[in-house]
Amino acid sequence: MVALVLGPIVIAVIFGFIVGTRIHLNLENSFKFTISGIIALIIGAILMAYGIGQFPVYNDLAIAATFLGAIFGLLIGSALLGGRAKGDH
Amino acid sequence: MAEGKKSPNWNKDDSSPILKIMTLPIAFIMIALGIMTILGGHITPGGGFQGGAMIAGGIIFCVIVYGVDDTPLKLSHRFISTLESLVALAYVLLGLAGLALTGSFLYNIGGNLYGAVPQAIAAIFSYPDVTHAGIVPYLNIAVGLKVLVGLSAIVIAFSKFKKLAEEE
Repeated sequence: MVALVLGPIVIAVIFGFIVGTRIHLNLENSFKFTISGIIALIIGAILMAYGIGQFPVYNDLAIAATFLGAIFGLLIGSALLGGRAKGDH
Repeated sequence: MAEGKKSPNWNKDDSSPILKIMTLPIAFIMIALGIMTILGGHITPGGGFQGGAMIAGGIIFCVIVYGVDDTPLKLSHRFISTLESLVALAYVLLGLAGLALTGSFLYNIGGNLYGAVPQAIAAIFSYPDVTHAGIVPYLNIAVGLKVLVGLSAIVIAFSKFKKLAEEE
């Protein structure tokens, strides 16, 4: 019986969102992180999460759901608020 | 840089395209691994400091490769000071909650091992996990955020100083 523990996943998404708000993806820069890069990142992250396994909660899903939650939090944070905050840095 | 001294072009103004394309996805992965380390700190090796250092590693990686002005991971002075102050306050308040309720600073009021606080208050501070570790994961999160902004601030400040020194 797989018991999905939602608490760490929700906190990982919130934590990733906080850091993701600082990621400016729409800069006119040469790092070329386009939609294809994001899809490749998600596929790579799912493979990594499968490799990590049931970490850190050992009776959870077979993949590292906290890791995937953090990745999605980062992407959502950067898509919603990244680049819009006016910083003095 | 002294005139007449030869230096490779890739090291002069800009990073290599391979580095520029690969750094941001790798920084994403490093940050997510750091968050996972922080959130597993109460049951696995690692914790707030280690996870925060991993996240700061991702930010520092971007600062080194893209330069401090063009990095996609920008931490403003306001963001750093606000986060640093808030998480320090959260840590102290969690400690003071234990002091106020039981007389011991940083008593684990969420875990409530000795039954010193009422169950209703313990339920508020309980961590939604199978281990029910109480306030320990929250302290890990506070330390992680503090280390993340602290280490990043050091490297950003050094990069700015280096840039100022080169301009003079």
